Amino acid sequence: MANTSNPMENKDQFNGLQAVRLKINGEERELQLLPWVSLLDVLREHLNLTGTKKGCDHGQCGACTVLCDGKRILSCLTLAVLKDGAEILTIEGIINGNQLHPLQQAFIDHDAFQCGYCTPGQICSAIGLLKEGKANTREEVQELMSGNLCRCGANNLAV
Amino acid sequence: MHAIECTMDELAYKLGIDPLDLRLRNYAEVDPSTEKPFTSKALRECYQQAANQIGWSERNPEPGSMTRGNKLVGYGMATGVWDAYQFPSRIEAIITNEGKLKINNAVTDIGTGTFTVMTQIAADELGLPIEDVIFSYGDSKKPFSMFQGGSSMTSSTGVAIVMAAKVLKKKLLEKAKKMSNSPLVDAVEEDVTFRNGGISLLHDPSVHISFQAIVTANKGQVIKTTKMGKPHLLKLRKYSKMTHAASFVEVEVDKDLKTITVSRAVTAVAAGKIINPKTARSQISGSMVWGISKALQEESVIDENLGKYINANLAEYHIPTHADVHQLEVIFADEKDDLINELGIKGVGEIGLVAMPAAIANAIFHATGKRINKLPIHFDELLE
Repeated sequence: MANTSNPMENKDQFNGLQAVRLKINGEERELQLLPWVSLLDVLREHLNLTGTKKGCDHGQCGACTVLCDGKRILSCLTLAVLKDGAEILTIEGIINGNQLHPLQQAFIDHDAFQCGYCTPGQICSAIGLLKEGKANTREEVQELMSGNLCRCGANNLAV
Repeated sequence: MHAIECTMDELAYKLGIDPLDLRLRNYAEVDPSTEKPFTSKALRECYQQAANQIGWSERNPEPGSMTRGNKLVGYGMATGVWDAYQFPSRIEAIITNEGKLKINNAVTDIGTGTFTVMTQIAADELGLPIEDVIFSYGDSKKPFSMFQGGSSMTSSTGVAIVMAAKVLKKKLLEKAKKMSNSPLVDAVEEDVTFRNGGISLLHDPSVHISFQAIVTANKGQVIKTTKMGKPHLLKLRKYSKMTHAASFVEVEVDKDLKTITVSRAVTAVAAGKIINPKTARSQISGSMVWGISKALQEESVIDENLGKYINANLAEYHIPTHADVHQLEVIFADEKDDLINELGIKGVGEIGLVAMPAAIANAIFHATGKRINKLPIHFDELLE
């Protein structure tokens, strides 16, 4: 019978590993990655940055939103090898020393979350939106943040 | 509840009576299903306050009569009730060597504010600042708690904290009295108050023994108690115990496309004393979003040949996004309930959801003249 061993189970001998350089939250990282590994799994499983959440893993819920070169992306639908050389900012990287990011503080002040699972994605998405210059009206924020679902119904508190 | 509240609305229109007036004329002072009185029921206040807030009396009650640009506008209201549950919960309460209060209980916090309100309740009972209370929770090795759900947690674990605190206070006073040269030696429970991290005489607050001093005099041994808090079932058997709510909703229906938007909703809740208005408000407004979801969006679709769900993913099983949620307002009616439990509280979770779907369906009728007796209500139901 042909050898059908799964290369995932035998990473060392599998020659498909690729060198990927990522600057994550200001820190240069050199990684050896299989080409099909998502950026989300790199963050959570390889680098232990579990602030970024895995919701649906389908690009439907927005929980995994991070900033890539300043733009908000769904890390679950992004292959890490395609982002070689990119600058990634996650929820762990937005704090300034001990000073919460103003959006983090605003979320706390407005009780804008309950379980908190969608919150890192909501905040990264909001930072991206501000950078895009599109957060001018409540309606704009509502519309352009709608890729970030919240099951607790903290919607209007967040917006 | 949905069927009853939509039928009440239909009846009101058939009789030519305002739906709110129909409910006020038939207002139940005792629970019609058991003929027992309510421990408290400030539903009338809920109706009045929510109706005022949304401007109920200013609407034209004629179905299909109100417009805003290319939208039909409709107003609807409905009532909600939810059982005021209370379950047993065991509390271990400890005064530590630093004079802080540690509360141990297995309860979890799924984001409802349990950690915050339990800390508040414990701090209030022992007269300690919030930062001197350690609420330690979320571990089944800790003393028993029921599941986090049923809008029951604050009544269950919160009231159990009050009961445990009562025992602990008694113990602390006994220890304080036995201290050498104790200024409280002759004091009885009625003479003292618990504040500023210790025990003071009511009529002379300068007489004060700190918890820390009591623990030190106790040879450094922490002072603790364990107490199972339970509802007063015998007393409560004579009453109906309910949380009440009224939701008033404004919908907009696109004249051509028939798309439905809940443009504004007000829910007034009577749930006894509110421990934390901020987290309670978040609970109710979250429930209102679930109400919008139930009325207009959420639907499991089954492939009847295969017997499988065909939309088991977040792209096809729709829940409200930020763009679907507009102005939501929450009111808490004043409601004093001396019967229900030591804190006079009832749950604030699901009660925000109960009335919403019926209020939305009733508002869609007011906007369009069409009564849709199924959920969720989609635009295609309204197409000519």
